[in-house]
Amino acid sequence: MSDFPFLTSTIEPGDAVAGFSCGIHPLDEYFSRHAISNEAAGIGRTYVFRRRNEDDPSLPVILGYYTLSMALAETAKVAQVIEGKLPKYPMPVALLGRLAIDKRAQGRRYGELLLLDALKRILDASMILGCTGIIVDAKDESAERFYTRYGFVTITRDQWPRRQFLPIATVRTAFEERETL
Amino acid sequence: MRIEATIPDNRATALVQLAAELQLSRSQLIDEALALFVKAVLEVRRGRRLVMLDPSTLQPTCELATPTLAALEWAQRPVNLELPDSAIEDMKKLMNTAPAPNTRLREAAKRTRQ
Repeated sequence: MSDFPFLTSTIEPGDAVAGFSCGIHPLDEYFSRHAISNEAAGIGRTYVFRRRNEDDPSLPVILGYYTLSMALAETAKVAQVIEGKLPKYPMPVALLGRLAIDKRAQGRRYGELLLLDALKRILDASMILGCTGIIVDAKDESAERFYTRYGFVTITRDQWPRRQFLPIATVRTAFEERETL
Repeated sequence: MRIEATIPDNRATALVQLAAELQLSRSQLIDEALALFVKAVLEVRRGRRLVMLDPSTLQPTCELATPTLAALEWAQRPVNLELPDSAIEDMKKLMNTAPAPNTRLREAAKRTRQ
């Protein structure tokens, strides 16, 4: 087990009906209707950030959540692969598909806490799994700005959600510097 | 076989205390812990989950997870992401010359230590 104090734990059946609401319908609906079933089916994992003893008791029980899964990134065009211009094999990446904070808990930098929690989980996993980096799906401009602030680079610009990428080596360096303090 | 490992101080303290409490040698304790972990890895690879059962109801009370087990679970069914060529090229460039973490990421990682 890691000595990193993870803030989150895996979703439990009661969480779906705890009244989580970030104000973005698809993210709320996913949490209340699909997160548990996807978890059971092994299609990604949902990590939940619950109110802690030191938090304001007026805050909701579920402060936020994020979803993680492994993904294989590959090009749609086979021709360039054959020509050797692009990698022959799919690139393994971690997909941070959703990250949401309850609207009653926003403005407390919980988004940053959740992002760092997710990055550390991915970094731990990368030590035993091939993982070239992290892809996030930014649902709107505000989300894209949020991830960009931490170094994510937008790699698809034509449609929403926009995909952004951060190499695992960048994350590793950030946490290694943390260890040497 | 004799092996050597480096573990955090708090874990080492817990190991020594537990061995004394259970009247086991450290080797016995580590052997049993490893056997349990190997079993957990094998079961997770078969798509199973590791949970604690309430003996009165036989219902799961909590799930046990470690970064390794979680990683194995994610790897069970990877999602296929079809990306435009330009995106794959951008990713390749970033991987080949990974940028140093920016100030925001560096500071945020530092704060997780506090």
